[in-house]
Amino acid sequence: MNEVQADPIVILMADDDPDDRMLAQDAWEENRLANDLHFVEDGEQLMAYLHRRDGYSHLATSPLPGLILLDLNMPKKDGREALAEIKADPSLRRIPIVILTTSKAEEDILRTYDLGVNSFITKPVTFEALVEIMGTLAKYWFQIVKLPHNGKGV
Amino acid sequence: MAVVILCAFLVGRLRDMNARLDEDSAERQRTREALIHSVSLLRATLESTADGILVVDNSGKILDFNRKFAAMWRIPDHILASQDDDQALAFVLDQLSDPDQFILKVKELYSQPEAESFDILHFKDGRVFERYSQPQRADDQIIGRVWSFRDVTDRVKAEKALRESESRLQSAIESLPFDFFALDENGRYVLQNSVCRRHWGAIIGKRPEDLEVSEEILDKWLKNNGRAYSGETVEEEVEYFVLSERRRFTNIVSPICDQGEIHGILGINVDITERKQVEDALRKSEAKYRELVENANSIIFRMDTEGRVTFFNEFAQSFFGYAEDEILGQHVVGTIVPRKESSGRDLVGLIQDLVQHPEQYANNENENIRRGGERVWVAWTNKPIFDDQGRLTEVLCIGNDITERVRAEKELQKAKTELEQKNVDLEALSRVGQMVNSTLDTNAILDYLTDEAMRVTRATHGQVLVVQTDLGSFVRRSQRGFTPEEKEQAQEGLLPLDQGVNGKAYMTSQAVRVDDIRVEPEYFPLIPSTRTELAVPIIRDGQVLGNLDLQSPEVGAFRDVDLGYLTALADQVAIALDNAQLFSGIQRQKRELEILADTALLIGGELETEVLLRRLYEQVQSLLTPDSLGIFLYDSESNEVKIGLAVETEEPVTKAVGMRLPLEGSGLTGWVMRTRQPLVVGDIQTDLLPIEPKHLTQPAARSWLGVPLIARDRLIGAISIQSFRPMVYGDADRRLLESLATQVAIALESARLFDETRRQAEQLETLRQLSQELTALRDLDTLLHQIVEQAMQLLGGEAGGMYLHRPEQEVLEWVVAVGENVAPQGTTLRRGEGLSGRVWETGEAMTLDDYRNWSGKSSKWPELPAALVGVPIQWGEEFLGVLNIRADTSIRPPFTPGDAALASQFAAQVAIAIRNARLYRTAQQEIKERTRAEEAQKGYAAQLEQSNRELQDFLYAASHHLQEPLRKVQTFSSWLRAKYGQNLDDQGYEYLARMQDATSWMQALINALLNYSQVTTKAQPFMPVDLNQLAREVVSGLGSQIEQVGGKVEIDELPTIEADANQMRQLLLNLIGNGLKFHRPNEVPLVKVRAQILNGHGDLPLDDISEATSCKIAIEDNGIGFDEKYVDRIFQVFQRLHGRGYYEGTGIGLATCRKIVERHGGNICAKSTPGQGATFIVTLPLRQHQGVEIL
Repeated sequence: MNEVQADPIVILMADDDPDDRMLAQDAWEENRLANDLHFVEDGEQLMAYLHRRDGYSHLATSPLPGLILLDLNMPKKDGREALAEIKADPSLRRIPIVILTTSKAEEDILRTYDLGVNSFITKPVTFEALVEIMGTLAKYWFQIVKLPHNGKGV
Repeated sequence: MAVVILCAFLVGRLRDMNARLDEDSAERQRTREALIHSVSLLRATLESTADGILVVDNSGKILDFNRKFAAMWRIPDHILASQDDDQALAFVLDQLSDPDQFILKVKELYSQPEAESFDILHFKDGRVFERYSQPQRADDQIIGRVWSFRDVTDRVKAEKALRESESRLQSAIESLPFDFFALDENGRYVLQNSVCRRHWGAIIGKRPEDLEVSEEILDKWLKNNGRAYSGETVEEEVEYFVLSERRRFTNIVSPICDQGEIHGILGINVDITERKQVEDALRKSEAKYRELVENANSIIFRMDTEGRVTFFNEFAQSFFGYAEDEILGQHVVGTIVPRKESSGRDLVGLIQDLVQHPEQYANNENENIRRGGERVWVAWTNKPIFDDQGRLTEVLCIGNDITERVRAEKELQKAKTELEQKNVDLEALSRVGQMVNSTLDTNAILDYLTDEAMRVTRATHGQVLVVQTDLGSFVRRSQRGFTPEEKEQAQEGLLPLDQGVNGKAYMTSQAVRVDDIRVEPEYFPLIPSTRTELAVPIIRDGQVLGNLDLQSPEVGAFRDVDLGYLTALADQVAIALDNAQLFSGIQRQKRELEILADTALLIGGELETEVLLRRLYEQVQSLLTPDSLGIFLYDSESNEVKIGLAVETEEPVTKAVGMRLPLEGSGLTGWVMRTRQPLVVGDIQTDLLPIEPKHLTQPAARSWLGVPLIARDRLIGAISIQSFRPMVYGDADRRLLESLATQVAIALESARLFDETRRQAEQLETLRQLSQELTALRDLDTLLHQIVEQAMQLLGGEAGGMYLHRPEQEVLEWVVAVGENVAPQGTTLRRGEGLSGRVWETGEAMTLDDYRNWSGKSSKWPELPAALVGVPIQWGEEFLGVLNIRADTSIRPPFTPGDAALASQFAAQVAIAIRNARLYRTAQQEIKERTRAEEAQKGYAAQLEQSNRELQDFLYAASHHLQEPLRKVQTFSSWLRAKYGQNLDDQGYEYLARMQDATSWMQALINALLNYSQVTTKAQPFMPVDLNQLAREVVSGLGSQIEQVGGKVEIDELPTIEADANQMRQLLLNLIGNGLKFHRPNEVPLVKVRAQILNGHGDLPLDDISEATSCKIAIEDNGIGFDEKYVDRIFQVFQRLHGRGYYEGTGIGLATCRKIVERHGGNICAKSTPGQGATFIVTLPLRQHQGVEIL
């Protein structure tokens, strides 16, 4: 475990549902986590963020994420397409991706794992469960797991 | 030899001893003893040898011999005892095959006492002795001779056998078909056979190195030979160039061993070129076959005679869904062949037969099954594979998928079958019509028609009953399907015209059908077994001629749809009866004619009127030499006189021939005909005449003689002769002319009858041809034209045509026009207008001699000086139109009533043609309409399917999307409770709790709805599902619920069925779960799951599934039960029998169950009494037909 985290890892969440973004933010805060949680609202925004295009060109306001929480069903470019693009891009493929979606379809689970996601989580019904999931995610990815150094990109 | 020498020595010694006896008597005793000893030694020696020994003195006298000698030469004891040498010699010589040589040898030796000899003696009986002889010496003196004999017969024989066997071996080796050779221990060839000589030349004595072979081969030979010399047998394939051909050999060399020592080697070279080629070809063809089979786009597999798969190509694997290792060794039935086809055809038996007799199934098509349970149709080509002994070992099956074709065929067939029925009827009718019109044997026709009627209606008995008005009853004509007893029975019963089914049909002119004759008191069956009877009247010209009567032992056997066809058949029966009447009339006439013809032959043997007249004229002319002569014929129909022949001063007056005059205005000739009296006029100018001569008499004539021509009281005509001089003819002339007239009258009458009959026969033939065409042709226009043309031809008309009745306008329309100068097509006539209008009005045929001068003529027709005939075309009571024929009166005489009758016959044919055409058109129309209706129905079905699908999709999408906001409500409410719960008072908290309850309830409902909709939207293909295993999984999944209520689930043996496994799981889960859920308080819930196998007729034991078609699964509980009046309601969506407060549940579970069961082609029902538990019974087919899913 790193004693000193010079730069706390940034989490980027892609979800078109404002309620879900708010709930995630609240659950994040409920866990009193120091890491920044950034949001994008669809797959195209996600790709723009990762490639520093459009309004995401400043590193200060749009730091490269160490973990992406990705919804599958989104307008314009959905999570599946974005996932495939990220995993095909050598500069982005190492960023861990956790699917957080309402889908329980077996097909989605199989396909996204095939594309290389790290975890697949179905959005819980109760708020308590969401808080717990967020806490677990943070603990797992920021404390237990050792991420690659260039996890934030080159 | 040693014995002979020893003997010679001992004999010598004995002599010495004898000599010494004289010298020394003192020693005599000792010597004697020594002598005795020597003699006994000699004897013992002689007797112990295996050779025969003979000792003779110099003169040849026998001194001694041993017993062996006697035995070998078989010399009898008495000869030995006699010691007669000559006798012994004679006996010996007698046994030899060459006694002279024997004597010669003996003599030769006596002349050479010193000589030793050896020779061979051959006996007559085949024995062979060696003879050896040596002189006997005593004190260097030759005192005699010792002969020894040895029997070598066996040795000689053995040597001979050995020699023979060697030569046989030699020739065997010689004739070996391959190189054979041997080398000695020095590596030289010592033996070779002929093949070897041919291949390599003479090699005996040579070494391999001396042969002209390539280094390579020599190396190989030396290497192989070297190994053989060290004790090894070597076999190797070598290529040689022999006899200028490159060939392949197997070179085998092997050591020749004798007691562990190697003396040389033996070798062979076997030519294997052809074998190699065959092997290569085989290998190549195998490889090719393999490649073909593996890459084929066809299913190729083999099975053994048990039906187990032994080979399965890649295409077959992907087609049927089995990997090679899964299918090999498996029986085809149960894997790729279902036990039964969807249609029910047994495939188990088929396969059993096929693997035993594949040659009978060179090509067959059957249903197969894929791994997923999908049924497919495959066209197979099967070939038997036999082993070397010709035994069947395997069957090679090559198949192609024809599922689509079969499906298309089935649909097409289904669509066609019904539509074709009408066509079939028409075809049959056409066939029947042809039969009726081409056969004159009435009985055969009636039998045929009755059979046809029985075939169509599947009646067991059929008969044609003909009305016999004078008897007041029916007469049976054709009886079909009757046993002799039944015929007899039926003959006993009278068939009055006013009783029974047939009586009613006769009286009403309508078909009468009785569906069960036993319950109708007014009818009585003549055949005891009859239940249904149908009588169809046979109607001709509005008159019932009889009935077509059909009977069946089945109740309600006949259908209304057959009636149309049967009526048509009855019409044909009518035609047949009519034809029969016509025919018998003609037959009778023909018979009369034959008699008449005979008579005519007696007179002149001539039947041609013209010739007869000519002959009469010649006779009269030569006998009476008149100046003028006329022969006249009488036409009784028109009461006219026709000039048959006229001659003036020996010149024929041709323009007068055929001229007609009314009888009354025919002068003297007319008078003779009317009075049937001869008349002699001496002088026309002076005599008193009974009538003015006027016509048919020459103005210059003075004498006149006329006699009538009468045959069998019938007036034929008259003959008259005239002379320009008066008083020429007397009574004698009259008698002569009368006798001539009598003879010729009979001949003329015969000729007339002959003409008439011939014309009638021609007409009948034309009519028959016409009606044949009529039944074969369907194009009405062509047909009607043809009828008109034929009628014209037959009646001698130049133009003709047809009016058809148009009831809607109440007019006749001119639709068929043939010939020139006729009204244009489409011309119409009112009732009563013109000839045809008149025919319409009166319903009678009509003839006109001169249309132009007729007062009733229509302005629509050109005025021509023509004769007309018009006849009505009538079908039963219905007036269809008028047939018209016009004739030019300058060519032919006007139409007679006989012509009108003939025209009516044509009109009747027209009626049939029109009716057939109408029938055909109606059938076509019906077919068209039905096709349209079916298409519309298909369209509706597609629409319905579409809307069903949309509904399903909607249900799925709706329930899916409803979940999202619901989840939010749940999340936010849980958050509200977690964060602000403590700020709410008890009531607020209670509200929140109820809200959360409601949302979970809604969640459950949505999930249930999703499940429900997924029965069709997320359906999986049908696969074999083991319900036993599935039920166990379900029970273990229900573990906590069972534990909670302390319940128990008992599961019997359940079958394996073709189904959607997920849905079967859902079904069992819902039904078992319900059984546990609706338990009575204070009662341990017990759920029993049982199964029964069913075939089409009832229950079957579980292990006998050969006939099984479905299974029944009962889920029985001991819970609260329900009132059976709600049984329909419980299977509907959102229908509950209990408040939610009492039992949990969405009200969708059983609806889902029903939907699942229905998708599987089964059904579900429930039985219960409140408080007594409930039983849910699910019936499911064991096997599924793929492709027919009803949404």
